[in-house]
Amino acid sequence: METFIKMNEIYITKSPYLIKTVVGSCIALCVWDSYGQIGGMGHIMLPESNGDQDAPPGKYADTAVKYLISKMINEGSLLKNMQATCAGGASMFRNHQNKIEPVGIKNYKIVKKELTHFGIPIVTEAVGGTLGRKVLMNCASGKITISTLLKG
Amino acid sequence: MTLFKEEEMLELSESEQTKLENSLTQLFIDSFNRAAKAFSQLLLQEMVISRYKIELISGEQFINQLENQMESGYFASIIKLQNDMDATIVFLLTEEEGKKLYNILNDVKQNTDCPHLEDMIDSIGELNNILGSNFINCLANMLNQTIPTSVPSNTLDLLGAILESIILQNEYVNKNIFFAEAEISDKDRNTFSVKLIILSDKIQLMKLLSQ
Repeated sequence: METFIKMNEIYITKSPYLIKTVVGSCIALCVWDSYGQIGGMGHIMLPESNGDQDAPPGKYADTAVKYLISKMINEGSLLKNMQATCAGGASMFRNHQNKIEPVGIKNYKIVKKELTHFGIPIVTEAVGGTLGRKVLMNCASGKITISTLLKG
Repeated sequence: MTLFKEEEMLELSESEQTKLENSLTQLFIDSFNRAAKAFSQLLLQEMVISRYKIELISGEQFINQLENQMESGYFASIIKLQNDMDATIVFLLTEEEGKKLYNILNDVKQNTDCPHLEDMIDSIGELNNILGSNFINCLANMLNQTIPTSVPSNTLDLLGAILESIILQNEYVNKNIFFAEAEISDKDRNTFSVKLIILSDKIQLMKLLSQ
């Protein structure tokens, strides 16, 4: 079974599903517990919630990481068995960029900070650049494939 | 899961909504007709609009409609209006149709792999710019004002990445989207399905269009 993760969504599964998403400026965060065979993916849109209580937990990097990890722990995962992969944070439209730090990079920094706080290592990352990325997580094996349209 | 907060979805009255939809429909038809004429001149053959669809939908509905195409490649051209109307106009053409159009333009045989990707993006970008300038001219005529715009930004990428980046960059998640799709055909029944999107606040747009 395949599940496509939309913006702001978080999905956790113990089943051998394929979880996938497409990201441009957003960050796709994949967390895999190889011992418990539990996988989770979040499609994170913005860096910080700044007290926005009504937002879905997957929208902001600061709340999304906590939410994803807590859901995995609820499913039986242990922090020490988790490892993360991050992809996205691209600046896709060069003409529209300005001098401030791209939001995608801000997203990534907050995700990294939160993962560090929980002691979860980032084993693979594909962040920045100007291309969108397709992220496919195989929850039977934990294998994560990141590809772009132009470079494969 | 919804991406939108209900309280932020300001509503128009039924008559205002109808008026807005009629104005936008006219705008889209005029601009597509002009674009078809411009295409005809460019391709040296008559191009006509064979089908069109115009919708005023929420951002969420829009994304859901295109969910099964999120992994597909699209040529995109993005233009920001730099007047009182805080709006972004996006033109989308599938990778396949873009390449077909490029081949016709360059008189290259179909199915020939083209190694000059940057050249192709620029060429399709130019076509999208033709569509864009026609649309903006129609809008400027309708509003009887000059509309300055940004330099168009062109790309070829995954549809999901394009849409998400536009939405994120412009914070249109809570706003409505005006979406039009037109099929432009030549005499050999080559068809090009062009998607045109306006991302703007509908109240603001209504105020402008009712002037």
